[in-house]
Amino acid sequence: MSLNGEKEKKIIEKLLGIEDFKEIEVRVDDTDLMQVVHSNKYLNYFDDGFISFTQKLGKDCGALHKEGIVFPVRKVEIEYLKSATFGDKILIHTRILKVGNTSITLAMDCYKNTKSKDTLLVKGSIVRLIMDMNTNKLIKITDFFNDII
Amino acid sequence: MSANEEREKRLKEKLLGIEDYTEVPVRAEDVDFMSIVHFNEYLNYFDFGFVSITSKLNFNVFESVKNGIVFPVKKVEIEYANSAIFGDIIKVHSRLLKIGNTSMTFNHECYRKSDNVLLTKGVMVRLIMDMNTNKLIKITKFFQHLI
Repeated sequence: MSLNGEKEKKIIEKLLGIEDFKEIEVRVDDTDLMQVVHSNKYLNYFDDGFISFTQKLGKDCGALHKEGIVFPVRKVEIEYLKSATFGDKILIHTRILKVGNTSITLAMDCYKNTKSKDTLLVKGSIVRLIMDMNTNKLIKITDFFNDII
Repeated sequence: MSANEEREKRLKEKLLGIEDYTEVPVRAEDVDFMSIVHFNEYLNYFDFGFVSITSKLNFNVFESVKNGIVFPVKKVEIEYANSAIFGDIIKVHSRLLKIGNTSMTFNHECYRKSDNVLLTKGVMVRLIMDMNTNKLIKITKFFQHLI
């Protein structure tokens, strides 16, 4: 394996080992006529989880956006198990499932208040790319995170 | 096959043939800092598609909801192909893909109306629940008025 290949392998290993927990509060307008959080709102929570996750990797999404580095979504899958309501806190558990060449697949699980088998609200996964809007080109994942090791 | 099973089969066949087109304009608040529609908005467009296809299924979703019959989402899968901007009209194509015992799977596709480019496609699994009893309603029972 080349030196470069070795480094890439280490970056991927490190990425796969990182997880993040982000707590948010359900907003009044997150709930619908059934008094539960509307199914679509969990995608916003996924965003919150992703932003918190990248912070853990030393990446500031806000600053990156200003530079034109964005994280477009390619695919989302969500399974709904239980519902939450206004007054609840949502704990978003984010981790990387797979590192592709130019895509990362993240597992996004949301829990009510605390993490346990019984409080799992939704199980999700999201595939994101990293794009430089200045050049309109995708950035290789291991290039983007080459400073984490 | 019993008369009842025969009826259910016919009903399922009828349901699976139903499709619908509706149009939704992109609102200013649908777009994000990249000036494109944020990925979560497409689920709202899918919701529009669902509400619209219910008219073809011969029931009034608003009346149902008032009576405590709701349509919770069990699962979503969505793939993103292209992006839309403020000013675009989104054409939502919806059809029923699968009828389970207590679940129905809808296929939704969003197109940009101006050039018919596919933006996203996905499936949404919905249940029918009676909030008065907190019980799921059998799909073929709910739609029995269709045949």
